[in-house]
Amino acid sequence: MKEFDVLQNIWQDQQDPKLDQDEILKRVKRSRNRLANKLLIEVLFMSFAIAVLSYAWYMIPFRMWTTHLSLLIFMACCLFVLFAQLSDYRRIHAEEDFLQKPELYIQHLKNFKQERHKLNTQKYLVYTLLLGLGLILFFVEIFFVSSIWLTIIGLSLSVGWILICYFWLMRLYIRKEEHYLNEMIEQLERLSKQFSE
Amino acid sequence: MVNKEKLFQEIFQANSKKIYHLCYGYTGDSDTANDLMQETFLKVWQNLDKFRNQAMISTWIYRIAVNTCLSHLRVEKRQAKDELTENIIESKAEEFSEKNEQIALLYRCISKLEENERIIITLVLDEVPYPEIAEISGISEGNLRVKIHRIKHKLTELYNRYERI
Repeated sequence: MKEFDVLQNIWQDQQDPKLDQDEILKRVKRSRNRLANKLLIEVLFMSFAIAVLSYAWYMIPFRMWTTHLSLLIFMACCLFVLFAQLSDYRRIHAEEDFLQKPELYIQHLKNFKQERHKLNTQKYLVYTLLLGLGLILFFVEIFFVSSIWLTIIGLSLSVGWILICYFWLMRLYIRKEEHYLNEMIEQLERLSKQFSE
Repeated sequence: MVNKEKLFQEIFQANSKKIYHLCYGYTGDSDTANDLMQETFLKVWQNLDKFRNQAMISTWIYRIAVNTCLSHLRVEKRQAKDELTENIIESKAEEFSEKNEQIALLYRCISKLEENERIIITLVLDEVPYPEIAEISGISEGNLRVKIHRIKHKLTELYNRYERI
């Protein structure tokens, strides 16, 4: 029958792991750069989209106000995506959250889940509607400068793709993300309860 | 930058073993403990500037380790281990000895505890002062003492039960 003191002695006697601090330093630096690069690529991609839109807006003499409004809506959508990405990226990697007390950290993760849900449902719906509206407005001018068939095909393909994204791809994505987040929240709530008992 | 590296190395030397014990106690698996320890020190590096004015650096590092362990599921699900999967700890054939068996059994018993109990007891075993454990776990010292008493009893019972098997 062993007492706790004996267990403590066993614990103290364990061999210390051999750790290579230079190697870990090298890895933390590489990892930090990788995160920074990911952010940079996302920002560059969206900035490129905005630049292309601006260029097209400047170079092509659109005649109808509907087209100008549609381009404005597209750019607003791009900016929205850019800021949403940046904000989520910063939240995911907001390392200072790891410095909080466990219950605050758990709360932070719960808030993150709620905000992700809001982004994936309400905000994405607004984004889709705006994009759809932008396309309809854009194709008004196309209708006047080209054939009706070209307008119908172009509009159908664009709207079709948006609908596929909204009703199929996004729902798959939401289901997957929520399943994973729910599982995480479940575990975190259990832990939170353990700490408060 | 050189100063930052020096500071990091000092912090690493002073805390890595205890952090590894904490992660091992939490996961019951040395490879995962290795991943979690690396992730903890990654966060330490990223927050090093914020650490500089802190009196109790070890408390901050423990808290990062605890939160990293708590969100272990997230890491596991993301499968985003990539570079973290390589072992920092030198792999070597475990010596077979009674002492090693006892240590393995102790880890096995710790893994049977609830998650928060695993974290608290590994800190107790590593002789981290109670006020610091209270600060790390975010519970009052009074509650912590009661909790520790209960966990010690539970762990001792588990150990004695498994030892007989």
